[in-house]
Amino acid sequence: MGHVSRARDFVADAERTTWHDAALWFVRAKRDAAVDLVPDWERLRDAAAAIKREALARLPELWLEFESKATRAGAVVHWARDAAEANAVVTRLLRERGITRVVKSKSMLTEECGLNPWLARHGIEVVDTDLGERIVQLRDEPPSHIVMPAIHLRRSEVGETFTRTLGAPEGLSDPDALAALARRDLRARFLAAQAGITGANFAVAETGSLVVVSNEGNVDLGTALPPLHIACVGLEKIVPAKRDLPVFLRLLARSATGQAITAYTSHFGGPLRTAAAEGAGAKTQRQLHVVIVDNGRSRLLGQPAFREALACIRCGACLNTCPVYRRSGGHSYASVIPGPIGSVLEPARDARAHAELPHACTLCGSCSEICPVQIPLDRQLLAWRGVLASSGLHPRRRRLALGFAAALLARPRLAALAGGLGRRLARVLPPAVVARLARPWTRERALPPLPAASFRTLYRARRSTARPAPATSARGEAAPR
Amino acid sequence: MTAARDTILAALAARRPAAPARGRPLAAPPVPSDPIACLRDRVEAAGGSLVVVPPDDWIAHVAWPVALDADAHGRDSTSLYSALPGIPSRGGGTADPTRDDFAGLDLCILRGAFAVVENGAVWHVPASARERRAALLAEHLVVVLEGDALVADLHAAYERIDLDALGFGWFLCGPSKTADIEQALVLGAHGPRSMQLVWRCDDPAGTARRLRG
Repeated sequence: MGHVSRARDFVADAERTTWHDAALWFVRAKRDAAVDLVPDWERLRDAAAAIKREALARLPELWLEFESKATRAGAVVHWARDAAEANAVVTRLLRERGITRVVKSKSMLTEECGLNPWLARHGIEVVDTDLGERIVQLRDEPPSHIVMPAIHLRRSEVGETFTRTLGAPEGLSDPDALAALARRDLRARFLAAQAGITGANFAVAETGSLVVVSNEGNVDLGTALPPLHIACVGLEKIVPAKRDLPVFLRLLARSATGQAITAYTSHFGGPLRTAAAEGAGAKTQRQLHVVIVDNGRSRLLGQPAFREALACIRCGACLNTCPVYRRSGGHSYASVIPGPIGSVLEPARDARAHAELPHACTLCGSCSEICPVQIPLDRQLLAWRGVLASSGLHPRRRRLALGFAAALLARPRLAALAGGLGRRLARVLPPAVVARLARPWTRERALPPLPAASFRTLYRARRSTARPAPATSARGEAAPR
Repeated sequence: MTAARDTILAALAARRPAAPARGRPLAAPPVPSDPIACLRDRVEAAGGSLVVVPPDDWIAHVAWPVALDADAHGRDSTSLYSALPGIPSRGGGTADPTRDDFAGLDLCILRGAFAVVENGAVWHVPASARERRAALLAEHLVVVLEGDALVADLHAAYERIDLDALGFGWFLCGPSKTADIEQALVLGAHGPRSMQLVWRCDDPAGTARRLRG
């Protein structure tokens, strides 16, 4: 009952839950407004999904092409099978150069690999530079959203955090003042950093380039100031060619925040080409290291029911639209990536630890409708439930209840008998007892009065007396014939 | 290291799905009836501003965020980095190529390659790593475009970009910004607090006509 109990903690503060719900819906509404201005939006989604399908079928060739082009441009390419290997590569690159101060921009991959605590153990200070990530880092919390890491916090809590950690005056809660304080602190850290670590939004096979987007400019400060840039890239980030970039970039920011494009969209082609463009004026030898990380992605590729989740471009739109995410908060998922896409990806990494997540879903399908790359998230969540049930990963109570229900429903006479018994009991027992039996459905609402007769009885009566009814009712069910 | 590479490539090859049929190429999206109004809307939505000025005597037509000239006593009251030949850089560490921090740099003036109507972004390839740092460390940013420098959408934009030869290049759209504290928009998260796009053009109507085709 992991997700449910953690969600209970979050909704205990009704004012916060309401605010969280409204804030995310506000972002969803901004997304809708931005999408309305793009007449070819659905064609773009089709194109993006097709490009990703093509990329998933050609991953080895595309990454080899990327490796060769990036290497020719002076980048050094590394490969890592899992989180430990990725962390080891980064640590080695830093320690070889005696680096102890690193700035990092937002990267869900390094979050997934647990890079920060790993580097800290090796005596390397990592400062997260995205404001939201910096806030949660100072609170020693994980991000609660993949695009808006501190969306679970109110401004007063950010103020308290800054008072405790950055010497902000007591009671400061103005966002401008708080952001200015963080800017001052981080500016000094950017200037003092010896290396910058980033993720990547896209790796282009055709040219060996990386594309990274940000609004704050932290990706750029973190790579323009220190001489060493380490980019950690998940296997799913590759696109075949330059012509694919506009398709994804037109979808990404609009889906994420309702912006037509982010403030910065940076293209890294490698240090040699940079130096060539700058001539002899290049003061320090700049280095770009690209760490290509698998960490379960190739395994997911082998699962046809779930592999389309590898198309994800991490826009977060499915989180913003999800009625469960909006009301339960990102931390209730206890996973690196929360929300619908996280509930698909996390069980693939560790089914036992995240077996509850596919149930944190009403199957409303809003996520699939909004997804810019058309990942069928609701179908995948349903499929996960089946996989988890047949792997025996459901909790004991649910296994028993579902087993009982299945046995009953497979025996129509027994089911009818049980139904009749239930209706009779509901009439004679005190309402409080009935409500108690029907928990947890009755925790927040009253049980509707039970009908006197069963559906079967009503249906038989209707068939024997009624003339043929109009073809369909308002809900579209077929009339009996 | 090569073990990791080989394992990963083998796993990807073994588990890949069948290659799908190639998707149809995307048709060019429709161009708005008033491309320049659209560009202005997008730039302003991103927290920036757009000014269209005549090519000659254009400096006088721009509301500069800081004074371009030294003050009456010949001192630099403000500092600026400029990529434009007609405007000299001064102060803020701009004269000292060994200094990278550009402490207190008030303004950075860049020369943009072209702007994108559909999203308000401008493509810029820094002439040097220093120029890129100046663009990030200055309090205010001005990007100057010359002539017929608009494209309708990102597809057209990438046709003009040579990624193969590119060391570093970026789209810039509005000032640095964040909404990470309660979704309240703050301009100047880490980089410039304002951004102005200055388009030196004697025939904006002609550009609009060309874009509409």
